[in-house]
Amino acid sequence: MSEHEAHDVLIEVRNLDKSFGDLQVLRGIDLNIRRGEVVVIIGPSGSGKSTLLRCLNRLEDPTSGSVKIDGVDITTRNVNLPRVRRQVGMVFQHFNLFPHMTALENVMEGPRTVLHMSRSDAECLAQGLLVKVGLADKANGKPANLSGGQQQRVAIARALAMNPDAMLFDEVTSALDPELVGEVLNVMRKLADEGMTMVVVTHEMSFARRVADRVVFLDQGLLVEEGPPDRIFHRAGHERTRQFLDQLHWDIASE
Amino acid sequence: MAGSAQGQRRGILGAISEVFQYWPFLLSGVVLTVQVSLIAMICGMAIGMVVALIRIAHVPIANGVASLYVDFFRATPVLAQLIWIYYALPIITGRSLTAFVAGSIGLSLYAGSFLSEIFRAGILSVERGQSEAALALGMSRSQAMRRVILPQAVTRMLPPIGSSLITLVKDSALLSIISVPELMRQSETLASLTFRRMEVLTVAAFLYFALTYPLSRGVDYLHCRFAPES
Amino acid sequence: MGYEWRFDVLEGNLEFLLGGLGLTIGLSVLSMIGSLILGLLLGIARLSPWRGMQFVTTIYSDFLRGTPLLVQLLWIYYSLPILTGVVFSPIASAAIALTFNLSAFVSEIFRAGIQSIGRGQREAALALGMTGWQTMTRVILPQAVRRVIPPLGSVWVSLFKDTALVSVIAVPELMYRGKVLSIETYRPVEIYTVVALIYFFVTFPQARAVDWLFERARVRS
Repeated sequence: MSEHEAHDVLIEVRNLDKSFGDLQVLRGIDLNIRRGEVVVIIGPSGSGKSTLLRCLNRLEDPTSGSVKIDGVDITTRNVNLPRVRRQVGMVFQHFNLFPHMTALENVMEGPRTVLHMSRSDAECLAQGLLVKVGLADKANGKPANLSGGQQQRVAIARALAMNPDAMLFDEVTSALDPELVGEVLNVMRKLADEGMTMVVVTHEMSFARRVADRVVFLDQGLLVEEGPPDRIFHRAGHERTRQFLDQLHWDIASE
Repeated sequence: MAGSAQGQRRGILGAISEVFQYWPFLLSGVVLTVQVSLIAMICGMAIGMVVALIRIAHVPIANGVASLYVDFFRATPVLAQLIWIYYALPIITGRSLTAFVAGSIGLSLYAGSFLSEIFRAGILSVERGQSEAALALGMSRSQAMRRVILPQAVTRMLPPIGSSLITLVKDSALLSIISVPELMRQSETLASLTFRRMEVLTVAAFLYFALTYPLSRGVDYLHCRFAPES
Repeated sequence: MGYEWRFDVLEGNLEFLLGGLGLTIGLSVLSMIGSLILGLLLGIARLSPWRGMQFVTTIYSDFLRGTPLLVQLLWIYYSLPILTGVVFSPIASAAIALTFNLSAFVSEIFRAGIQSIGRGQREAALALGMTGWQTMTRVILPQAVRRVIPPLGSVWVSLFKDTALVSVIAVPELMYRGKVLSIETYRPVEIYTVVALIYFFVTFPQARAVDWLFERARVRS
């Protein structure tokens, strides 16, 4: 890798292993994610996709191997985890909004508590982000009064409020009713167009095809194949990849 | 209190072994503690079941009495109940009560009050649909209760019943105040005999713990096995 | 069976009894505050990843909940002066014993309340870059507080009744004054009945209020 390319790499995963007791979930994963790239991770359930994502902000601790963010190895012992996590935002499958705060307060929480922003600055920032995700009018609503799609968009705004270098999306539409999926994917697409570095675990293949710069196929903890969406979806090199895509009855002709 | 603080502290191990000489004396106290706790538990369950069923079935006058009983015994200290039964009741009825009997009655009535609440909650927690299905099959109310509701309620009630036994073992210590020679009383006697109050109380505490700890592990097991979601 | 109830024995003595009630209330409030603080710290400590801390707090909690309050009370009253060289008044010993005993129960309540907050909340807070402390104070505890209020209400009611025990070390609260009075007036029946009734009328509404708290929490979820 040339020096120019090396600067470009924001997240570098080397030989990542993860086991839960006897169960090995990730095996020797090597992955580079460049600035501005949108990387979509696909694979059957149990393949370790979410685990891999959660290793990137150390919500899971790798058993061995390393993860570097912007050149800093986050898997060493004395790393300052809260500081590391500011750089990478995460959106969860079950939203995990703070129920005792309004939407606005949820978005303000990170800047105020972690970045020590003043109340008025945080409020301004939060308002702007809620406008960006299309929820300006829901600012004072509590999560319980929002639909799933609305909650997830607030969750995205909350993560964006930290001004992260990269965003991690963990099956963020899997828990949504079908008609609400689109509004969330639209926000994600907008983000991608603006150049945000994104690592997305999802089953939404059309999103992957349209928005991803690179698709990674994970199966049983192994990184089987990766490449541009066109290649993966139409001319996958590995049998296993083709099998998986077939199982989804994914048909490009119907796109 | 004899001895300097230093002297007492150095002699603690020696003192505790001295206390252990009186092992049989304390043991007789333990036996009584266990006896009275079990009596209270068994009588309490009997009382509790009757009271619970009366309240669930809303039997006209009995319901009011039952509710008053439960409310009264839950809203007054056990000690006040025991003292009343030991000192006041004999005067009213003209018949004297031994401390053991008075203590047993007091603890049983006390146990009955909170056990009835456990039973009531357990029975009511079995879904409506169950009794409706049973009745739809043509079962009588009591058949429905016996064959369908109670068997389901019983498993949910096991953990809190276990906890109740632990509570009773601890509250049995109050019987010492009306001179029942259970563990606490024996400890008091031994303490004045040996002037080693601190050591005696420490040993007594460990003996109580030896009784309650296995019980609480048992309750944890019951919890895992029968009521994991609560 | 005609026992002649004569409540005239209360004239001039009722005030004395009610003064005891005042002390009962004061002692309860004091012990409750102490055990809330201590219990909260212990409850959080119980969840710490250090094995040692978990072990110590578990032993503390198990032991204090597994031995009678009476034993603890007497132990503190008689042993503390020996161990520390400081003589504590009966009231102070009572407050200390009650506080420690309750803190064991309170710590369990807080621990369960904190653990009942779904893991996702903690992860969301950590993902934002919050420290463990910030996560606890800004996200977990505010949600846990709601859930622990009914059980803490129960603890309060038990505390209120448990204060009767401290009469054995001559703290002049309600129960003790009842004893003193029944000896002085030779009328244990009326006196002890009134004592029981006073406890009842003061405690019953509170017990009902706690029932309501539990009901409200159940309906909410």
